[in-house]
Amino acid sequence: MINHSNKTNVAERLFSLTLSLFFTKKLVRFILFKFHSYFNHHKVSVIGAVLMPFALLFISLFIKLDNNKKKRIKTKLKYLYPHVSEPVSTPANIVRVLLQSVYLATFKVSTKRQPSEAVIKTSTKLISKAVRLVRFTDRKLTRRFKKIWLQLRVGTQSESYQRVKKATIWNSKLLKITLYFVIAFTVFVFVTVPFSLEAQAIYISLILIVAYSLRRVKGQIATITMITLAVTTSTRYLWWRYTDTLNWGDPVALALGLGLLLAETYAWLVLILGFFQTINPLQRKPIPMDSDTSKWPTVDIYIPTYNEPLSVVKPTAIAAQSIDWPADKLNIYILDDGKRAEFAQLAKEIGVGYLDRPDNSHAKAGNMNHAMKYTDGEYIAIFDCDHIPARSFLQMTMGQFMNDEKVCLVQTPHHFFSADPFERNLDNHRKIPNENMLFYGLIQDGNDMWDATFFCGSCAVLKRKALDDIGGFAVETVTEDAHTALRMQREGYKTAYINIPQAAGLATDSLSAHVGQRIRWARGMAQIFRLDNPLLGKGLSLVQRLCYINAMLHFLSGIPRIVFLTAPLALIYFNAYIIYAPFIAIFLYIVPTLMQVKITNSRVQGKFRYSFWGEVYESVLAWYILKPTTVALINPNKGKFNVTEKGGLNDTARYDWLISKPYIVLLLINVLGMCYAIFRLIFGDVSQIGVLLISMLWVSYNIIILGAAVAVAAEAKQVRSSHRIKANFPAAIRLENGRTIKVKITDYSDSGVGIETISDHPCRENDKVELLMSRGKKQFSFPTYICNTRKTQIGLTLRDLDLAKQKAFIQCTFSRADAWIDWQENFKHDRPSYSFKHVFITSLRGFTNLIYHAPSQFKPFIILMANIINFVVSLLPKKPIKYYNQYD
Amino acid sequence: MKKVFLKGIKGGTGATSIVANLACALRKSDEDVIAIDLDPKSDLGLHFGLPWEHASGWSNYLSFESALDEFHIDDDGVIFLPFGTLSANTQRTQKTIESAQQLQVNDNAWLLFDCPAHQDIQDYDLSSHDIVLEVINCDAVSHSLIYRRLLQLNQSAKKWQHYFLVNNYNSASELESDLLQIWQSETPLLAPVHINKDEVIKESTAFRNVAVNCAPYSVAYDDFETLASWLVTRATDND
Amino acid sequence: MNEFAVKKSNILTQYDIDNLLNRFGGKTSSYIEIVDVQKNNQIIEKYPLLSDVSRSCDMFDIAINTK
Repeated sequence: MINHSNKTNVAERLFSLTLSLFFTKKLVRFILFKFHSYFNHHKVSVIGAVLMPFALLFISLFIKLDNNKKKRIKTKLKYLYPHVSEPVSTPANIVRVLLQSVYLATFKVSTKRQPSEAVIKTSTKLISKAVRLVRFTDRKLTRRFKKIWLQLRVGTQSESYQRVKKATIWNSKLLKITLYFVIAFTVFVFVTVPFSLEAQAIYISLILIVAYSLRRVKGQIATITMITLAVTTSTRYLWWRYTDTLNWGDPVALALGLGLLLAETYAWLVLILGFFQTINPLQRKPIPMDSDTSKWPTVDIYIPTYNEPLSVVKPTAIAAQSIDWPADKLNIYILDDGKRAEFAQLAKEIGVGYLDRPDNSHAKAGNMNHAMKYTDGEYIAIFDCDHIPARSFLQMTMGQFMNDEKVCLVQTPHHFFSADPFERNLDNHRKIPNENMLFYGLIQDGNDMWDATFFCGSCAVLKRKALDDIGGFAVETVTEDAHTALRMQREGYKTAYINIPQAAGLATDSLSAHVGQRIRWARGMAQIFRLDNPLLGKGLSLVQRLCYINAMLHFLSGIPRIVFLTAPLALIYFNAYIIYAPFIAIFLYIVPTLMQVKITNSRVQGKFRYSFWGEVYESVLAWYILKPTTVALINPNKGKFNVTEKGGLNDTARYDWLISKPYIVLLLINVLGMCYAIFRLIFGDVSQIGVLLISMLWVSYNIIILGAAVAVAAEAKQVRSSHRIKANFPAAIRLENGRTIKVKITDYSDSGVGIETISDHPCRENDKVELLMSRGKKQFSFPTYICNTRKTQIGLTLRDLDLAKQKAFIQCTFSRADAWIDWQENFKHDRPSYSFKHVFITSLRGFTNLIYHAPSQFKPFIILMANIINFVVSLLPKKPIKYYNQYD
Repeated sequence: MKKVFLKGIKGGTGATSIVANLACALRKSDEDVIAIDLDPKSDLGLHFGLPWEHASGWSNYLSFESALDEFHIDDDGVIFLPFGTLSANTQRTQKTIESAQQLQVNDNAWLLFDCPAHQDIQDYDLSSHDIVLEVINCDAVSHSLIYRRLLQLNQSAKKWQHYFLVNNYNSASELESDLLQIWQSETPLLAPVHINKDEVIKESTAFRNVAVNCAPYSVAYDDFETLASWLVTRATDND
Repeated sequence: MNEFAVKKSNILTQYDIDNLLNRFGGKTSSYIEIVDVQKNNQIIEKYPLLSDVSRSCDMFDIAINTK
């Protein structure tokens, strides 16, 4: 140690001696002092410490360095290189300094802080100017088109037009056929004539402009025009795909390309059938009943149950009892396949019928067939045991039967007051139309137009005579409902749909249950397709067959969806040109056609399904319905009926890894594909950049959709076991001192009510108050306790209600005629860009969820990745810190 | 001029407070209202804030014309005429009703009469445009009286529009809700409106006011507003 | 539904009255509210006075014109 210090001392002395040959004594002391300070305090290496004082001296030849100035330079450097850490001389810092210097040199960056308002002002001004310009052109364009449109429409009122319109020649059959032929020929020409790329560009952009400008024009004709345009372009696209884009030279590409083409054909078919199905929704109105109630028919209400708890069935039975129908013509039966004694007891207690049977053959259909032997109502209303009917249910529906004796079924929508797994896990309950809404809001109304309303197993009334004609409920498939309706339609009966929610129930409460239910439907549909194919056989009209085919096609979406989610990877991984066409042609055909279809779909379905959400819903189900549908198509008798579980509770937030496995795999190969594509983009063949870019665009879209699908699997925590239903109707409370206060009911459940007063209230917790609620003219009073109060909000609990009061409570809440009426009015019309933004955000959430819920063995890996990413990001140049320069 | 006669089917049904609150509710819809007390109890004025010492009314004057000074106006603009301290037989009451119709007020004004329970409506000479609201409570006596009245109305040719109006209804009571259910479904001439039991109605009298003014967020306010609007439609149907 | 809080007290229209009369129930013009005959009879039987009145009224066979 001493030796060592001696050595350094000797070296130092030698060093100072050599220095004193060149410099004055003062400078030598300065250099030595600096060397010590660099070496000891700043931990600089020996060579660095030796060189630094000289550099300093050298600089001081040009710049006068006093303490003050040094400080200023130091701070300035700190502002310019904000991410350089101490000690300075690490490899990472060198990279940082280099990158930052390049950045500072190439871009004009000032460290002076401009008054921030001005910056924002100029930028917002620019943005708002741009937005205004876009809006202006958009509005001008739309208005111009509206004008032209209206002029055309007004022009049709002229006299000569009327004369032409009324001419008898239009009745001639020959002319009609010729006209149809001419139209068909024109369409054929538009679809098949090959265009040069420029011509295609002009053609497609013209059509797009028309479609885009028409999208806000109201009226059926505009819709039909848009649909026609969409059909023409999509058909043209498909024609082009079949004739021009198959790579016959490369067998792998040909096989993959054919797969994609088949999937696209499927999508096209569904699109065309969907347009046809929903082109003119009927929107049937209820027909009032005769005011003489003695002429009304007898009705049996069936409430089939298997394993649901008593607390679910009880409100349904009570609500069924309070349906407004003559009591002597209304019989309610609980059909218990679980053969539970407490259900028989309940039925006796509230005064409804109870039926069970020795075996459980054919599940629900068998249960109802059994019940039909013991009951004799002219009509049969069916409610799943968790669907609480409104009291107006029968009067809203039965008029259809009275009006037309061929009507055999009146269906009403299934409405759910709890959030389904999608809504709950994505937290968009009542914000975005759920999966059901498209079907019950639009498709069923469209089906009704073509007399092809589906029977959905619950919330419907059937005519016993029609059921007798077909030998009872169909038992051959797992979706007895759709099959039964199909059979009745084959017998020449009509079906009707009334789009007024007249019952509400619990949605499935976990994603796996939800998926299980869809699997059953998909399997059932495939079974019907095999056993009783609606395309074949007697009794159905062509349009009915088409509607059924569309419904079944919907459940075959598994394979095509997976194809779409993986197709772009073929090019990236295998270099297989599945769409064998020049990049610019692909761009000109695919992108505008997709836009056109999206705009049209958004217009047609906008109130019931937001753009891009359909893809999310489909992607979640795709993998799971793929197998059962395929199996059922091959062997329709395999598989069994599984009951949809309801009314459960997730007590903790968790991630359903099992169910999300397929999407995670898909997501992984897509993300890897994306990385590989970036690699190829940088190091690969330059001629492929175009197709690669298109594939990457497609892959990123798929990643977004898959991200949203992954987000659904994060099961949110459910807090309350009895669902709170949002409401808005008046009621009153009477305090213990006899005073009354008008209140508004804001929510209710089967054991409590939330109310809001108009002004501040004198109530305190645990006070006893009387809740006054009315049903029609009748007023009921319920003893309640205050469980919580806030400003104008009060929470009430109902305690120890006797049976009569329980009935009254259900009548005043769940079974109010207007309880579910406003469900469709909550949603605005779709706007594709907003919807895309929402899907994108959801997708991001999916990725965060994935990381957050990752199993613990992956944790080190994730942390490592995160650290690497953090480190790389820290190397990148940063904006210098802005500061007020006090010296200027 | 629209005439409404309120009368308890028996004593103590709360007819007077209904007259006062109804007058006030109609006033809030900018209707002209004149309330005339035909009941010798002469307590209508108390609801409108008439000083307790002020006991005289139309019965203290020989003729209706000379009693014009006894018309008072309350803070809301309801014009009212107290009964006074003397007694009046049916003819005298009938004459007052007739004279009141001669008052120079606009055609859409409302004349509300607070009739004594003991006098028979049939003794007044009523026209087909007149509305009689017979105030009942949800109890057994009212039930029997309603059916007696229905029999009586059935036998004689009634000219006026007769309704039974339920007052002081308490839905927590089993008997009351049973009775109201029966009446609502089986009893003819039951008004589609009822007045719920509310402490505020009693309390506001003690404060020399009416519930409609005192408790705007109470059920009573709603009930009287509903009653008023129902009467407005009834009256417009007559025109 | 909030209108009771902010409602201006002017002369009410027929719509208002329907609204008020049917405050707590959904109303459609064609809707028929079914009277539960059985329940009414139970109530009448429960109270001797009511059954008494009901019996004598049946005897008189009231055909009261409800206009």
